[in-house]
Amino acid sequence: MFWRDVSIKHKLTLILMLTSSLTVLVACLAFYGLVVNHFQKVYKRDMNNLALIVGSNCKAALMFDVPEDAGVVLATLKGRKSVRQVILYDKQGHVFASYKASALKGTSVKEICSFSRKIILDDGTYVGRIVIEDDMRDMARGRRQILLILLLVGVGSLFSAFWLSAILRNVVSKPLLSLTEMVKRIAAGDFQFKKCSSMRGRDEMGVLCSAFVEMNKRLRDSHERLEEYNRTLEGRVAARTEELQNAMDDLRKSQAQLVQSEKMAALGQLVAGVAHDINNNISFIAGALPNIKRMTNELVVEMAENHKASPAWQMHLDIVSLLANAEEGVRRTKKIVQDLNAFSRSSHGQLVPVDIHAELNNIINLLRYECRDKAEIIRDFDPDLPVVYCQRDHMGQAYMNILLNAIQAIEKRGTIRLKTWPAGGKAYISFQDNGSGIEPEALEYIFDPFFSTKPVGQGTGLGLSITYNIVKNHHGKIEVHSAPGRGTEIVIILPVEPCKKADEEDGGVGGME
Amino acid sequence: MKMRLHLRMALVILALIASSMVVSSAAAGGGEPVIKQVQVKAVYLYNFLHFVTWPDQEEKEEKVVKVIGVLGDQELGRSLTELARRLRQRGRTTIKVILYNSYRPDLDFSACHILFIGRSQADNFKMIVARLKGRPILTVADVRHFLSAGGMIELVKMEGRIRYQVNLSAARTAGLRLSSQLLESALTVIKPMPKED
Repeated sequence: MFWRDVSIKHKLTLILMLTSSLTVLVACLAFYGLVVNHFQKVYKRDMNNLALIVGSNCKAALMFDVPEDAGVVLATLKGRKSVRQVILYDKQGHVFASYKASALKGTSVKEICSFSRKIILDDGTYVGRIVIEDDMRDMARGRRQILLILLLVGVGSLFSAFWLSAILRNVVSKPLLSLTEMVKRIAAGDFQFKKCSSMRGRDEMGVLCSAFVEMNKRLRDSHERLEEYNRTLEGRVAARTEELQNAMDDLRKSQAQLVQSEKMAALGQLVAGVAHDINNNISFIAGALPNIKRMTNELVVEMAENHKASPAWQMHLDIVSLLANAEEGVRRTKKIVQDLNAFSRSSHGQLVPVDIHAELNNIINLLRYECRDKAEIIRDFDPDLPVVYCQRDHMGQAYMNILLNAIQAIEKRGTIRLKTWPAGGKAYISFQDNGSGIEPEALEYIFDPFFSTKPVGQGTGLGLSITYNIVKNHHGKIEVHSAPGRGTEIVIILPVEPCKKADEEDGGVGGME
Repeated sequence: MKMRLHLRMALVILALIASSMVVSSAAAGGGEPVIKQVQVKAVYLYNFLHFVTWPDQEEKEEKVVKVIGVLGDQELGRSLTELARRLRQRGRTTIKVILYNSYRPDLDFSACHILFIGRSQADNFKMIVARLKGRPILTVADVRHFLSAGGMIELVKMEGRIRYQVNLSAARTAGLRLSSQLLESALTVIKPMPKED
C-alpha cells in the first residue's frame, strides 16, 4: 500500500539502487571468492614448489650427510619473510637440518600453514623429508586488502548508480511531472497552453506529450466552439423567433389577402350580375327617354300654336325640366354601371411595353381642367425608368383613379408630386399630395370596394378598389403612406418584366362581364 | 658470506663444465683456442679450494692464502703459477703454488691445503698417502687406484672429459668437509660406513 504512494521518482531511485547494490554485492562476493581461491591455490602451489626446490637443493647434503650444506640451503629461505620454520629430516626421521626465522614471534599455530614434501633421488631412493612452516598472516592481509578494494568499488558503484538514477529520474520523471501539471491544468479547465516545454524528441514520452498536446488542442477547440455556441445561442434563438414571427405575419397577411381575394371574387360576380340587370333595365329608360323628349317637343310645338296660354303650356315646361333630370339620372346610372363593370371586368388584355412617363403625361393632360385652379402638378420623372410591360388601358385607369383622389383630397390649393424611379427590377411610381390625408382607422379599408369618405353621390367608392385589383393583376404592389392634415403618398410598384403567371391567373379574379 | 659461497659454487661448476667442453672440442678437432688438459686440471685444483673446508679454517678467514702443492708435474705447476698470477691481477683469492720435483721422505707437506701427486710419482703415491693419512691435506692425483690407496680425489679422463672420484671416507677421516655439491658432481663417491643403522 505504501509502495503505491511513493512517487515514481523515488521508486526509480530505489529500484535502481537496490538492483545495482545487489549486483555489485554479488559481483564483489564472486570476485572475492575467485580471487581468494586463486590466491590460495597459487599460494599452495608456490609453497609446494618451494618445498620441492629447497628439498632438491638439499638432496646432495642428505645423500652425503653434509648437514652444513643443508643448513646453508635452508638459510636461503631467510629472503622469504613469511617462512617461519623449515625442518629437514633424514630418512630415519631425525632432524638433519633446520632453519628458524627470528623475526616471527608470537605467531599462533592457527596462522601457520605447514607444507611437507618427501625428497627422493633420481633413482627413486628416499633420502629425507622437508617441512616448511609458513605464516599466513600475509595472506590474510592480502585478503583484507582485497576486501577493502571491493568495498571501495561497491561504494563507488553505489554512488554512480545514484548518479545514474538521478539522470534517469530527469529523463523519465520530469516529463511525467510536467505532463501531470498539464493534466491538472486541464482538469482545472485551463486549455490555454500550446506546448509541452520540457519534452521534445520522438521517444515514448515525446509521443505521449505530443498526443496530449493534440488532445488538449482538440479539447480547447471543442470547448471554444461550445462557448461560442452558448454565446450566440440567444441571438440565434432571437433571430429564429423573429423569422418565425415574420413567417407568421406573412402567413396572416397572405391569409387576409386570400380572404380579400375571395371576397373580391364573390363581390365581382355579384356586382357583374347587378350591373347587367341594371344595364338592361336602364336601357328601356334610356331608349324611351329620347322618344319621350321628341314627342314632348312635338306636343309643345303643337300646343304652342293653339294653347299658348293654357296651363298645360306651363306644365310642359316642368316636363322638359323633369326629362332633363331623368336623362341626367340615366347618365349617372350608366356611369355607375360602367364603373361596376370595370371593377368586375376580367382583365384580358395584351401586355404591351408602355412608356409610363408618356402615359402619366396623357392623364395629366386629361385632368388639366379638374386641377386647373386647385393643384399644381410637379413631375419628377427618372429618365432611367425602363419600359414596363402592362395592360395599357387598365394601368391608365389606375393612375387616373389615384390622381382624381389626390385632387379631391386637396381642399383649396396644393401640389401633387409625381415621381418615378427604377429599383431592383421594379418600377416605382409615386403620387404624393399635400391634401387632407387619411385617418389611420380608415387606412386599412381604403382598398375595399364601396368604401368612400366622400359625401354620398360624389364617389362610387370603387376607384381605389379597382386600382388595387389592376395592380394586383400586374403582380405589383400598392403602398400607402398617409398622415391626416399632411397628405398622402401612394406608390405603385410594378415588375418591369412581364410575369406569365399574371396572365394565367387573370381569369380567376373576375371572369364575368 | 654463505650466499657468496653458494653463488661461487654455481659459477665454478659452470666454469668446470665449460672448460671440460672446450678441452674435449680441442682434443676432437684440434681447433684454434686450444686449452690444454693441464690447464683444466689447474682450474680443477683451484676450484676444489672452494668446496672443501679445512678443520682449522675459520669461516671469516676466507682470504687466507691457500697453498697448493704440486708433486712431480712441472707442466701443471706452471699452469697453476700462471693462474695464480692472473688471479692476483684480478684481486681474487690468492693461491700459492709449491712445486716439488719428486718425492723425498724429508718433504713436509704440512703447509699445503691441497697436494697434487703427478703420474711421475705413481710408485710413491701409496706411501705418500699413507704418510698423510689423518692430516687435513686434500690429496689429489690422476693415477689409477689412488682412491683405494687412501687418496681423496682421483681425476679420471672419461670420454675426452676430465671427471673426478671422491673418497669421502678418507676426507672425513682427515677432518676435511667436502661440499655436497662437489660430491654430487663426482663420478663416484666412496662413502664412509653409516654411523648407526
